[in-house]
Amino acid sequence: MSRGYRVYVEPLSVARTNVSAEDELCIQLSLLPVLGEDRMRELVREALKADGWKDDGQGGLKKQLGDGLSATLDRAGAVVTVRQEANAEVTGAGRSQQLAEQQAEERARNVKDNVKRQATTSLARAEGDVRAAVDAVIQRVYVTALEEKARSMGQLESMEQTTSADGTVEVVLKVRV
Amino acid sequence: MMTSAAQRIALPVGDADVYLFALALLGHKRADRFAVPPTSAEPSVDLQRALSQALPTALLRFISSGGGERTGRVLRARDGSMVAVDVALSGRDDDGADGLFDVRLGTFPGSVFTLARDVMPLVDKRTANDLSVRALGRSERQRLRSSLPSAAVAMGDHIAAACAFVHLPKLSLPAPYDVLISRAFARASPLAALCALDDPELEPLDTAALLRPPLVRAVELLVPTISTAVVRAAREALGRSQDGEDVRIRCAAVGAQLRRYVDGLDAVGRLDLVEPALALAVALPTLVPPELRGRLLRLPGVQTMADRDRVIAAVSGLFDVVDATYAAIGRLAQTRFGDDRTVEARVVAGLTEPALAARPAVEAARRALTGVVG
Repeated sequence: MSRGYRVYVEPLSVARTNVSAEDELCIQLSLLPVLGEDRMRELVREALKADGWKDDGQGGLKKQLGDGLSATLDRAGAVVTVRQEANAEVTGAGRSQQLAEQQAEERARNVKDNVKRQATTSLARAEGDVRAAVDAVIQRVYVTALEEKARSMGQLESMEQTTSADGTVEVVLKVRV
Repeated sequence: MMTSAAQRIALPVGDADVYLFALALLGHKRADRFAVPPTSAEPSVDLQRALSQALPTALLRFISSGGGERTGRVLRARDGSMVAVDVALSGRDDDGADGLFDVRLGTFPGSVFTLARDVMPLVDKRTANDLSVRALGRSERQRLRSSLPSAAVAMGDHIAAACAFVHLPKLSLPAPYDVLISRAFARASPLAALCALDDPELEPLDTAALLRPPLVRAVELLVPTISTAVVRAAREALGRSQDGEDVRIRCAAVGAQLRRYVDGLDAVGRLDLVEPALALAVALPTLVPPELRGRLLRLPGVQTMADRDRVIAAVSGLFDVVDATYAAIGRLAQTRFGDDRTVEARVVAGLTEPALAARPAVEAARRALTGVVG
């Protein structure tokens, strides 16, 4: 014997919400006063621009480094702030839109810490690379500054630059004064 | 109870416990259990006599064992200008300048009696169960508060408060008594507060009181002890707690309080007492090893890189105060013969060699901590 059933399925409402978290760290720039402080800061800005950094509209420079990672040089040119954003989308379902949204919000609260931890982990992983990149820019700034300084002292006859195995840059300038 | 060969004072066992507690607090005897209450609510005549004989002696021992008994060069005002005077700093005798050094006690014996009477039996009773100690009842808390030392009134009180603060850890009091009582001593005297720089609950250091006579004479005597305490405070701030937020708050407290001290010295022209800050300069490269930066991220309470940077900023506050010290002694070195602070500059020049020699290491430690690029 068989019995027939009729099943009514109410369409479930679905809500989506984005969970975002961010973490940041600061890299202080300390420049040797090869030239005046203002000129050194200017050279840093020029070197960063040559490296793909763009004006951030607030007097600083900014570069997107991919995967939610960005770096910003402040207006004073003294601090680079590296910011990592992490996002996740969570969904909620319910018999009404309100219930779906409630569930989505609850899930969002639950995953918020995980997303934040993800941002911190990514940032910690990226710190070394960003620091090395900024350091390389500063090295170039020193070379430029030394050259400029040498030219201001007399006629620059030669300039030799060598990089040792440990990354130390040596610049030898000959100036006729 | 024998207090000297000449005078024998017999004390009932409860009063003897108070006597021994007072001496333990001043580092004179080893810590022991003090379970028997005194015979009366007020110190008996014999107990007062015993304390009045023993406490100044214990204080003098504290001064001399802490480096106070030494030859030193101090600044004194003479005919409207400062002169450097070579004196035997003993705390016992006339230091040859501006009168006798007086270790008379005002409030301290009374404070220590009430401490012994009210707190020690309570501590003893509760030691077995630390949880119940933490959950002190309101009435017990009020009783404890009323038993704690009050503000110092005499030179001896200030030194006693500093001495008790230094020796309190040896009594191994359970929490929260250790913190409450040591904080009470630090609040009783700016001299003790100078030894408690890592306590974030304390009020800003009262340099106005600390750096003028008569209290500044005690600072002169205790400079070696204070220097040790300042380094200890920085070490405690960096190492005692395993919680990142606690490290941040304590380091910020040490930096801010020591900065007040250095600025106060600079303002009153007494940078000859700057040794505690110089001692921190010498110790910083050891206290802040290169691996600290990486270690901070693993501390509980440090969950993000931003949290880590906040802790680093507070720790680098220790370097900032050292920088301010270098700057102050650098400015002083610029004074020329005949300037107001010439004499002070000469005295300070004799103190700064180890700290100046440590400067490259200090700078390297700061760079490793902050990860500065350039």
